[in-house]
Amino acid sequence: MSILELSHVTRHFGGVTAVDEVTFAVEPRTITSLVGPNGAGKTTVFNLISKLVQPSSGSIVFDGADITAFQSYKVARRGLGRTFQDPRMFAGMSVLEHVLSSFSLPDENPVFAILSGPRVRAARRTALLGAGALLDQFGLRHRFADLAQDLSFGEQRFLSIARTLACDPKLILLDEPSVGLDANDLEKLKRMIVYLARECGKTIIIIEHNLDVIFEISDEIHLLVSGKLVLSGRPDELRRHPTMIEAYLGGAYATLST
Amino acid sequence: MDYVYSLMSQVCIYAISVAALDLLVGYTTILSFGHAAFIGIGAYTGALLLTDLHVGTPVALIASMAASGSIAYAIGVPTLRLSGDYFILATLGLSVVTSSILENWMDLTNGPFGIFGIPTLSLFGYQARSPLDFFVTVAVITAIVLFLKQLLVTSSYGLSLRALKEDDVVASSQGKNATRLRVITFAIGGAGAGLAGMLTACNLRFIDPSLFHLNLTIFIWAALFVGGCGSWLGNLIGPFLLLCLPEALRFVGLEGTAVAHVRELFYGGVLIALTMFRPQGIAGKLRIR
Repeated sequence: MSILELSHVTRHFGGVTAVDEVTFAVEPRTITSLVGPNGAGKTTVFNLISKLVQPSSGSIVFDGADITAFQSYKVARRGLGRTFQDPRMFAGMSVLEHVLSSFSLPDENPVFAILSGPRVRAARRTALLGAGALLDQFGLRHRFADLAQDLSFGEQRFLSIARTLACDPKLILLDEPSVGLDANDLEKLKRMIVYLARECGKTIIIIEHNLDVIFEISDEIHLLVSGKLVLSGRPDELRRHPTMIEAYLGGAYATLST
Repeated sequence: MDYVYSLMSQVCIYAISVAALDLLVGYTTILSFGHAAFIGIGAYTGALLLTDLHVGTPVALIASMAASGSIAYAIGVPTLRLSGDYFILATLGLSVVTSSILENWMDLTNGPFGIFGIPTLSLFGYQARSPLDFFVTVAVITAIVLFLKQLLVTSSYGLSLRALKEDDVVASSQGKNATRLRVITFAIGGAGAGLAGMLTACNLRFIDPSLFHLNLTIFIWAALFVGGCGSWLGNLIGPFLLLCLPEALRFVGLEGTAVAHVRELFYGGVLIALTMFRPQGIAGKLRIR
């Protein structure tokens, strides 16, 4: 059974159709990539899935529930996590606080925050251990007390993924995660994504312009052009597909390649 | 010395109001201009319960907080969905409407004549008979309020508020219900203001609607700016400076009417100097967005 199903999802912004009748399904524990030129509607699809934007028509089913009319926080609580094109760090918050802010703890209720009983203290300890483990995973433990805004861009990128993972999502949407990473960090990112899908049972959808990364790690690729889903398939099917080449390099190159 | 104790009691009461506003403005970006209204609602609830129904101080304290908190909650549900500017207008409207009700509902509030003969604080067998007693009682209550506020802001609840303040889109993608968090925080802030109102009533022993006009809100905002957001020390320093330094002008030989003008000049000067040289306030840790 698919973990995510989009059926004829459309989104208009005034007279512009940003996403046009997009239909696809995502299987659990897989890595799916959304590719396409700038302005193809990839991030809008992410915003529709994470409910930051409501669809004009169509339906979205996540983990067996129709989430079409949900608000974003409800989808997040059902197990959908996402990152953004920018790391979007919280100013004035430390690295550790960033990760802790994603844990759902009893003292989020002000009454429990004041009473601070044994259950709250135990949950806080567990969250601290979990946050420490996540920071370890991304090589950020030694910087736990630093302000997130003082990290390098690559470190902020990893911290934004760690912050998302702290919500323990079943489905993770990664929006251009490799932007601003050097070769070493890019390798680390690829290993991490594959590890999350294969070893941790997470389902991942990724928007990425680096096609080498896409072809290397994806199980399924969807090509969007001008808001329409024009091509779907496995990496080996799409690598030399004329539509794929045309979308990225133009019609002349597509003719040459065939 | 009674004068000093009375002044320090006022500082403590204002510190409670400032701490309540800090929770809204400093931690959550709820730009409320209805603070004086919540203080007024708390003051009148407490005063009416103490004078008409002769309930004990603890009951009146809880009822004042509950009245202001629940009115804040009821107002927060529809208005906190509004964007920043519209919310400010809504709270300004609340302030004006509350003043109008306090002045015109003669049967309940006695209108512009106010309520006299409000008893002093009496908690757990300890009655604040002198200004020193009152100061000690209010200082203990203020310490408890500031401690509870620290517990709140250092908990996951406080972390959620800060996340929401910085980026509500990211916070909602973390599963935070922004509207609910804001409404609850607004209610807590309202309850804190209600407590300050009740203490004001017991301190002055008389209240009338003119005490709870918009200029009180502006004074509390100024005290928050001066002390700085996100700091319990700032919540104390702001009211201390804005109340005590102008009082000190009484001793420099100025005429009665001149003192009032110099006081206004003093407020203006302090605010301008702070925005230029220390925009986060004297002990501020959080910036206002």
